[in-house]
Parts: sequence; structure tokens; C-alpha cells
Amino acid sequence: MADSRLARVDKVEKLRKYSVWILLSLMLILNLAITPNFFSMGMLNNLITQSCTIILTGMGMTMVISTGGIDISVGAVMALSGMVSVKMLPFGIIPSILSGILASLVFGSIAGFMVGRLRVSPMVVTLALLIGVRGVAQVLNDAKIFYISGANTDTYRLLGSYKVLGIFPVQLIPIFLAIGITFFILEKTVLGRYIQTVGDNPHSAKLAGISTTKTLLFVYMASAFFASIAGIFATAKIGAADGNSLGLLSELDAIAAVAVGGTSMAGGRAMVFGTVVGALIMQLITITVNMNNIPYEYAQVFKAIIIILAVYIQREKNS
Amino acid sequence: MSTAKKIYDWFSKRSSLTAFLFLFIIAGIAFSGRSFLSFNSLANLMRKAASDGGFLALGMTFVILIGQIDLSVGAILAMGGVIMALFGNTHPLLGIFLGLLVGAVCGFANGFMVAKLKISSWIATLAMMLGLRGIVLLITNKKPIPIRNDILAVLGNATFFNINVLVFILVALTLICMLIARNTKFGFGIYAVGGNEDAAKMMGLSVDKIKIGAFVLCGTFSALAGMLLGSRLNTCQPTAGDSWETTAIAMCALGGIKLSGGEGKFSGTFFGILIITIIKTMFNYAGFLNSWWQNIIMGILIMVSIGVQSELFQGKETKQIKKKANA
Repeated sequence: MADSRLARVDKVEKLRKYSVWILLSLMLILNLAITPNFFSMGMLNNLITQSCTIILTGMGMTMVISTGGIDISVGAVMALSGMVSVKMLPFGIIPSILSGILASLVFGSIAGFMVGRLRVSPMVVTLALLIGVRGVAQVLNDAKIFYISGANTDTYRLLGSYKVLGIFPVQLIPIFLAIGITFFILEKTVLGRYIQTVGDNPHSAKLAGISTTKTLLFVYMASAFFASIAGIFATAKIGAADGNSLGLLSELDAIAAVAVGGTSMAGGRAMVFGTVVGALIMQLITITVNMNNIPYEYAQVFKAIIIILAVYIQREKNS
Repeated sequence: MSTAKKIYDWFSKRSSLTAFLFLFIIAGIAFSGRSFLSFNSLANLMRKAASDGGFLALGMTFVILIGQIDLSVGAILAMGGVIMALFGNTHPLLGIFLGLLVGAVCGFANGFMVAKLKISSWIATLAMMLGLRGIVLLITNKKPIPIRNDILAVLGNATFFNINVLVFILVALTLICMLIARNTKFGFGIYAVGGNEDAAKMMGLSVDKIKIGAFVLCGTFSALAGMLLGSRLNTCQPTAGDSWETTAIAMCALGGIKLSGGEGKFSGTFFGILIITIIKTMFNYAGFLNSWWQNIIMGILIMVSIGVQSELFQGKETKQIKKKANA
């Protein structure tokens, strides 16, 4: 009898482990049933293009949250990097992208320094950045939309419209690179162990000789880095940098994707592929609603229910 | 101890009051030619403080004191206003009652998810924010709801001694919150739970009830804010209070409420509210600066205020006390 009970616990455990995958499959089956032309190349390309932002910011967010922190400034950083890169475009495509990344890294390092060295609550620091960096992005062009024009425009626009092998959208490249790099860092390097140890128990991490300051600095800079790349690709796709609305509320999407993916909000456990699946689920909900002419507000309600459900199923006992 | 030292100590303990007075004096001098210090402009400042997020910050303080966060205050604000507008047309009291009830129920749902289901407050209230905003947009069909009831339309614009009624409500609520925090078992429990949850549990406090209570208060305050805002403008927007949660959190942070919980006073939040409002007012007066510069200044201000509060800048005494406490 004890055996059968153990087997049942095991089954529940497995069910919980694979719950996001089950959810994703359910979403796919639902879409196959109700959405016209769901199984098509165009739909796949749509999904890839649209989920670029949420996956990229989600990767950075996975690292930050697995240290027990949070970064709500990613949306503002996206706007900043998009704006800076477009402003610098006349000087060439490489300087433009590099300056966008560099500007974001400055603010990422400020966040990392404040959290890691000054031990300030990550929420307040990134909240201040969310407000301030958005302000900087707006001031750069007097809060007007900056349309891409002049030299190097065509090269920059390729970042949004180029097709890999003539079929897949260019966004596939940053998505795969971001997932690969994050997975490699978190699972295969010492730094990744450090990150999760800091999130699990900062005190014992310190006793073990891990420099929490450096680890946290890296994590927040990585988050800003991914956000800046997301900002540049989004800007290239739209063809204009908008300091007011680019990346607005995308921090919430990223947090939701991470939470649905099973990364513990308390830190110490990072699920890279979980975040990817979480991001895809969020994007699929949007697509389902859009393709079936349902008001978008239903997607919001549905997303809220999915978030709560997924997090409730996956929560750790006694935590 | 000399008098100067006493005065210095009194002010350094009340950093948000000091910061407010500092800004107030600067504004008073800079805009003296444009009658900043006149009764009307000060009454206007207070009214803005009350209508633009002041109530949200008071409610948020309860939640932050227990070490949690509530991102759904803006959505609850919209919901409270819309419900009041929809049902207030039949009878004003019904509208007010249902509006407050909706706020309390949403707060209870937040608290239940955080306390009983053990979901992180970030996620629980994020979902509440998304879902509730969606519901508000659906029931209003994305259109503003006008308030047709005479009593409700007048309520938010009533003035006593030329001061808007919202100001009196804000001050009264702040005083009530201060009383709750200082003199009740619940207030004591909030600080205990925020300081150390395990210790609070061992002391025999019902931690879950205190958590839910804090969220219910936050939800009710948010709904009240939405109702008063709607009543003042005579219309309830479904998009009201969008992204005001950041303003409310910033007000708390500037008011010296420790974001990890357990420390801070409601009087601090009150001055935090005034600080944000006076900064916004100064930008309106200045005119020559683009209004989005105020975002940059606000960001820097929050950074500086938390930087000063951080360990690096704390005095030696505090550090030694902390060391002893750790050992």
C-alpha cells in the first residue's frame, strides 16, 4: 500500500514538473481546433517575431529572479537602447548597436551596484530606473517618435525584416543565442552555480566565499544587455524608436513568463526552458484571441488565470 | 545635549518631513513671484496630493510594511470608480457601498493568494492587475462612465473653507492609519510580520489574518481613491490609475517605508505623497523644462533617498548595533 501511495506522489510530482509543457500542448491543441490556418508557416513566423521581446527580456529576468531579485526596468531600458541606437545610426550600424547596448549596460551596472554593494531592495532600485530611464529615453527626442531615416537605414531595418535561409524571421537568431547563452551560464558554469546559490541563501553564499557583489552586478548587467538587444530588434521591426511606448509593461510579461515557467520567485531555482515555454504560452494566448476576433481584454483575464494556476501548481511545499 | 543638536536629531529622524520642507522652501523662493505661497495654490497642491495617488500610497504602506507588494492598486482604483458610477445612478449609497465592497473583495483575493496559497505577492497582484483591468475594460466597453447622480457628482468637488473635501479625507485617513499602526493589535502585528514572519508566528500571532487584513485595507483604500477621483471628475474612466502603482510605491519609498517590510511610519508616507506632488507642481510652474524631465529627477531622487538609507552610508553606531544583533 505504501508503495502505491509513493507511486501516486511520484506521479503528482511528475505532473507538476511537466505542467507547463502540458499547458503549452493544450494551448496548441485548442488552437488547432478553433484557429483558422493555425498550422502554417506564416503563423510560426508570427509567433517567432512576436515572442522575441518577451523571450529576450525573460532570459535576463530568469537570471535576476533566480538570485532572489527582480528587475522591473527592462521595458524602459528597451526604449533607451532603441532610441540611442537610432540616434547613433548616421555613424554606422556597428557604432549604433554598440552605443545602444553600452547605454543600457551603464544603467544595468548602476542597478547591480546598488543591489549588490549597497544592499538596497532591487525593487526600489529598478523602480527608480524604470521611471528615470524612461524619462531619459523621452528627453532624447522630446518625447516624439524618431523615425529611422538617412544613412544605414536599410541595414538597420534588416534587423527587423531579414529572413534566415529565406524562410525564418531574423528574430530567431537572438532568441536562440539568448536561450543558449543563458542556459550555458546557468547550468554549465561556476558563475551559474553562484547565481543560484546567492538566490538560495545569500548568507551561506558569502560564507562559501562567493562574491555576492560581483555576482549580482553581472546578473543585472546581463538583464540590461538582453533588454537592450530586445529594444534594438523591436525598434528595427517597427521602423521607428518610440521613447514613450516601446517596451511599456514588457517587464510584467517577462515576470509572468518566468513565473509560469517554474522559476522560484524567492530565488535559488532557475528554469531557462520553463521561461521559454512560459513566454510561448503568453504569446499563444494573444495570438488565439487576435486570430479569432475576440476582444483583447479577454486575453488579459485569461493570462491572469493562467499565471495564478501555473504558479499555484508549481509552488514548492513548505516554502 | 545642546539645543542645536536636539533640533538636528529631530529633523534627521524625520527625513521625509525634512526633504519636503526643503523642497517647499525652494519652491517658495523660486516661484515667489507667481504666488506659490498663496492659499489657493497651496490648497491646490494638497488637492492634487489627495487625488493623484495619495490614497493608493496609504493603502500600499500597509502591504509594504508586511513585506509584500501590491501591483493591482491602479486596476482596483478603476474598478471601484466604475462600479460606483454604474450602481450609483440607482442610489448613491448603493454605489458607494458596492464600490468599497469590490475593493475589499479584490484585496481579500490578493491576500488569500499570498497568505493561503503561498503565491508570491508580485505574481498574485500582477495577475490581479491584468485580469481586473481586463474586466473593467469589458464591463465598460472601453468607454468612460459618466456619473449622473447629483449627490455623487457633487461629493468630490465639495469644499470646506475653500479646501477640497479630498484633502480632509486624506488627512483623516492618515491619522486613522497612524492610530491603527500605533495603538492596535493589528498594527503591532503588521510590524511584527514584516520584521520577521517566523518570529511573529512563534509569538502566536495569526500571520495569515494579518496579511489578508493588510491587503483588504489596501484594496479598500484603492477603491475609495477611484470613487473620489471619479466623483471629482464626474466621470469614471476604465483606464484610470494606469501605472499609478509605481507612483504609489515611489511615494512610500520616499516616505521612508522600508521596502523589505517592518519599518516605516504613516506620517512618513504622508510626506512622501507631498514630496512627489510638490515635485510635479514645481515642474508645472517651471514650464521651461520639458515635463518628462520630472521622470528623470524623480528617478534620481528615489535613488539618492534609498542610497542614503543603505548600509554604506549608515552611521557607525547603527552598524555596530546591527553587528551585535547578528552575533
